[in-house]
Amino acid sequence: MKTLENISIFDNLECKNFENSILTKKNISKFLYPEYENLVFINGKFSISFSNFSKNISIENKDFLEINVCKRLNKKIHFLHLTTNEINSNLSKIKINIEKDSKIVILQQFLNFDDNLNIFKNVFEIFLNKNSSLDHYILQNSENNFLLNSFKINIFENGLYNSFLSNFKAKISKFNFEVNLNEKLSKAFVNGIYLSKNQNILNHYFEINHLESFTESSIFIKGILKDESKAFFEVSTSISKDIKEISAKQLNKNIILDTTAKCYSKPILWIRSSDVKCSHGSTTGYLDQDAIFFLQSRGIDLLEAKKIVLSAFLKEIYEKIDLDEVKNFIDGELL
Amino acid sequence: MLEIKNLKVKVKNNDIIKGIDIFLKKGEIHVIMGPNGSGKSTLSNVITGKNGYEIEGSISYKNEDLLKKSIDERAVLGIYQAFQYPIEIPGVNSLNFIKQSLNAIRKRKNQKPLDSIEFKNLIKEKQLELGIDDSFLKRDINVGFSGGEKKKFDILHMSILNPELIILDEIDSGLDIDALKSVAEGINKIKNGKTILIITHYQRLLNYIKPDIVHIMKDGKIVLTGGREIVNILEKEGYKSFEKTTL
Repeated sequence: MKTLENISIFDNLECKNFENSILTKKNISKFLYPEYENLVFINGKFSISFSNFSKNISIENKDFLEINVCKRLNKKIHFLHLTTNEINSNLSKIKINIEKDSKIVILQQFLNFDDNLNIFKNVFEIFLNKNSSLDHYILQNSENNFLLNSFKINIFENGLYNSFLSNFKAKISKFNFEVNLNEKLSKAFVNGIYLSKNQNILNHYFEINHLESFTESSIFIKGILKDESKAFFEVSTSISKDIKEISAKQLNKNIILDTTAKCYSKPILWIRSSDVKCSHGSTTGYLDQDAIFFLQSRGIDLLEAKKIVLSAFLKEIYEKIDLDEVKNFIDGELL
Repeated sequence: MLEIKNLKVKVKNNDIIKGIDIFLKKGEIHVIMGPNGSGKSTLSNVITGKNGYEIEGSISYKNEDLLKKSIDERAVLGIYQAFQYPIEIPGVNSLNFIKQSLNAIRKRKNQKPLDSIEFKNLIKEKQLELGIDDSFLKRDINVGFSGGEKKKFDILHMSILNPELIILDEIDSGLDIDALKSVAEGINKIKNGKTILIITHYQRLLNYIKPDIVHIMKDGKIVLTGGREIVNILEKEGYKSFEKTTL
């Protein structure tokens, strides 16, 4: 096994090879949260020199980067994924192993450092062991990139995966989620928001596998689209044979702000058991003009009226967010 | 205060209002009565500024060309339309919205926005004045409100914004006798000095709010204008008997 030191791909990188580089501790520290364990990745590669984390997180480099999170951890973890054309690298594989009986919060943020068009692919595999819970916030705000993110979430007995996904700015972004409810009483809830504009193409694919009895899943994503952009939503929930007391929900709602944007929505249920409670739905429509008229008739100007209606549309999802950092980030995007 | 001259309105090439003239002086209460499809609600929407209409003629309000104003500019000028079917907006808290709307108008009139305490005091004062409890104000706009609560919310909002021209568009529809009486009492409490245009099918609201001028509208035209006695004629003879007449 390689040691931590050996995998420090970008260790001591700071301003070494690049004149006028933006990759300085000062620049990067602006994006870090002091109260978090901060793990910094640049173009998919882990940087020790820019990261700061305690011994409750251990990191090993195998074919992939393996991050082990110990239940003693009492801080939240911030994964900062920065992209820049200064470094020629674009693929990362990260395995996150969460110890049993842990209660962990991960904030995973994707940002870009320059305006160049780059292609990045990240593969994440998360193991949520017995009695552990993970609140997983994913904020994709990386502009001008082709960003492909795959998440494979393995949940074991009485594990709880609670995720919030926001997907905002990439030229093309693709989020693939495979969620395996492997053992009884495991639960997965994914809520999310996408804002699609400027000809963005935003893709969201979910594969939810109920492999054992007494498991529960819910996927609830809302989207707002405009400016010739496209958004794809597909969720395929599969319920295995001979398992019982399953609850599975799928819901996608979209508002299209002009006639040039397009939305494709496909909720699919594969039910092979009879003891299930399932629901699925999808709605897409334009901004409610009657609501806009009503708000304007009470003295609110058109722009503010649109903001009120859109904020109200997102409120259901927004209220599920517990982290102020995430709420502030979303607020900034909506203004 | 409000002058409507030779107003013609089309929707998707269909003539809805076919040339009407109405003049409302400050402080007058006018009522427009007419059967379904006569163009009454279209008229109130056109005054408020709703989109989707092809409009000819003129509407001036306090000597300003109203048709050149946006919907919100008309609200700032003091025009308030109470809707027949108040819209539900899940996700927008009723009380916060009243405050937001009041402060939006105050800001555009270069008045200082009310802070939370000032607003709380104002709303309590209006609630006491109108006899409206605040239980439904904690909910989102009109979501889960009874028909009566929707109209009370409208009247409370109206009293807070303190408009000069109030358009009541069939606010009596869907109300039982007690709720109608309660809503009418609310309007009577805030009507002093205000100009009111009531649009209704029925005479029953007029048992509580006494109009100065009554217009009968039929097939996009005002076919009769006169005093309160028209209401009694209408009750006896219905709309079919009216031709274009002025009493």
